[in-house]
Amino acid sequence: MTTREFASLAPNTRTPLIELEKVSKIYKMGAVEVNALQEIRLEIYDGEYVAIMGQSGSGKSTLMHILGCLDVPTSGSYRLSGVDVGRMSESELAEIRNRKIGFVFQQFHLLPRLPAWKNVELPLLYAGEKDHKRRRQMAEASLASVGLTERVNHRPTELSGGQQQRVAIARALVTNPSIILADEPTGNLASAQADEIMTIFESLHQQGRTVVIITHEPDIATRARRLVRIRDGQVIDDEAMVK
Amino acid sequence: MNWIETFKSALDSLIERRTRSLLTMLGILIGIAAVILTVGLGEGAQNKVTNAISSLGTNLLIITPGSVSTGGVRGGLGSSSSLTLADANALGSTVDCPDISAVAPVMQRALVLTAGSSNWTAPVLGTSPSYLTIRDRQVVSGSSFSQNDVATHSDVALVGSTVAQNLFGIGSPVGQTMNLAGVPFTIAGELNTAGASGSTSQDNTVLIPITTAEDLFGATGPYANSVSNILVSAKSASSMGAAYEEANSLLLQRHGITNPAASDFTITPQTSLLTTATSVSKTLTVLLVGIAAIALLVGGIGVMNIMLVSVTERIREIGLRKALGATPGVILRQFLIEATVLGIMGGIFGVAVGVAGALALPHFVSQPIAISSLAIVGSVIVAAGIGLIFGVYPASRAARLSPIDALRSE
Repeated sequence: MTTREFASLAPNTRTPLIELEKVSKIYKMGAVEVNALQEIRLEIYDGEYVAIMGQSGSGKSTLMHILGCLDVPTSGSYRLSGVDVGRMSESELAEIRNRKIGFVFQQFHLLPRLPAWKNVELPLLYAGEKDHKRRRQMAEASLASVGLTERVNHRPTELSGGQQQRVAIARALVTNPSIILADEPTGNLASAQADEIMTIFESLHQQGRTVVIITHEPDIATRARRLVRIRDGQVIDDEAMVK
Repeated sequence: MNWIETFKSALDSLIERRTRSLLTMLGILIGIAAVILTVGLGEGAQNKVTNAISSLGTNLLIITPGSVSTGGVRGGLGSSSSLTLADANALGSTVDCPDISAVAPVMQRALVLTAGSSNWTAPVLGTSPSYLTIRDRQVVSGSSFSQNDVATHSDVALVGSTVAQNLFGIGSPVGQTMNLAGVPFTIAGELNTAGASGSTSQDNTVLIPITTAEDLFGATGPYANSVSNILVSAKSASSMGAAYEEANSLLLQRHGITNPAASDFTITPQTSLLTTATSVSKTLTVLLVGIAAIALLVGGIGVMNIMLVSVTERIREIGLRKALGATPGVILRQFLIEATVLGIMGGIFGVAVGVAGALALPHFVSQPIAISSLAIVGSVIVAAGIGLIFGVYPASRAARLSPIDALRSE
């Protein structure tokens, strides 16, 4: 073994948190087959802050669905923490989503009739946390971490867009997942509120969490530490951002 | 997510859509109320008939003298005096007839009764003390005559309330004396009020020991020792058949008849009367319950319809819950619980309306209505079942939704 080979192996001795290998996704729209993703290869390590950027129709949403275990690849393999999730059943995927992934959506997706803390509590219910006092404590702690201590009992309709997205982030954090997966998290927000949300992601990264943001906005994407560009279902660029 | 949390969540979403939930329940409510009322009416009518017939005695076989052929001419029922006291005594044998618990021979004549200045005509029945047990009658004051009175041909009598009133007015008849065909009888006791069976009042009657009746009625010649009928009581309702067979074969043997078709007596089980009478009201009940069942079916389809609307409406919520880790099983459970709760609540309100109706109805129509606890418990279970069954399709649709499609839908 030469020194050069040894050196190139060094960063790979860690198991990637996310490991996509030749992942393809083909949708059948009637007779037409759409290649949404074509043999994507992507590795994301623990603690990284990655932006996946592409125009609409580039396949970034499909990629996000696969990364979030909301969908499975047509071919290729996806290992999450070294476990192949590509062939898991619907119930097993639900458990992975619950334990490993915290979602933040563009439309917030909060349940309008529930107060903030109950929205944040939801993943804990599905995780089987039986102690209802403990669930409330965890939900309140999570809301406090995004600066919403005063809004615990507010319903989503009583909150601003930025506050609603912070509730959604609190909900994503409450199960202490391996990855925060945000899909256009600032798409529905005014720029001041968008900035507020990006500051939260920045601080999550500082705390050592793995954050993956999917976006079409260069302003947002460039705030990450690593930028992956997608076009026509393929990775066209993958660069580290110098801060 | 455990059952309690799922249940709370289901309840929340039903309360949130309360108007629609109430309207959906209304379908089940009407069906269940209809079931309670119709079953109640049917059972009320049946109870009325059963009570009237069972007041005649329980597990009863009535043996009547049958037609007898004289020179090839067959007389009608009761045309002969083929039954005798000896037949009655033989039926009482526990060896030959183990399934018969009591036997009462009856001799009957309508006689004029006099007491002081009053007179009255009533059927006088000569019989044995077991008549009271067989016919389910009680002596309310005084005491019955005994087997000893039968053996000694005592001139004692039991009177029904109608007879007592007509002879003695409101005073107690016990210990008083009345004349039957010129013979003074001491009244030993008064019978309970039993009401009428058919057109004959059971209270307009006089009971005397059968031996005394023999003397009194002066039966001689072909009528000597013959009885009007013999009442036989089986040990239980289930041994009615066995008792029938034992009585039949014993009497055939005693009368020396080899062809059962030519028997000179007829045995009529009380149950056959009961069966005929109740089968009519049962048919009616089945019909009414059938209509109520259709109402319930329509209510069930209403539940399915609303649940399908609910699934479509909440498609994003379902998608979100799945993204947050709800398994298809949890989603299925939540929607099934919602549908079942709709059913149970509809059932409970339906029972309330049905029972209220059952309590109110007798004030408007003269029809007895029974509130059957079986129907109440049964209806709530059926209502829950309907919610559950008609909830399966919408719930499985919700459970099968892909989280992406559900989240994406606007």
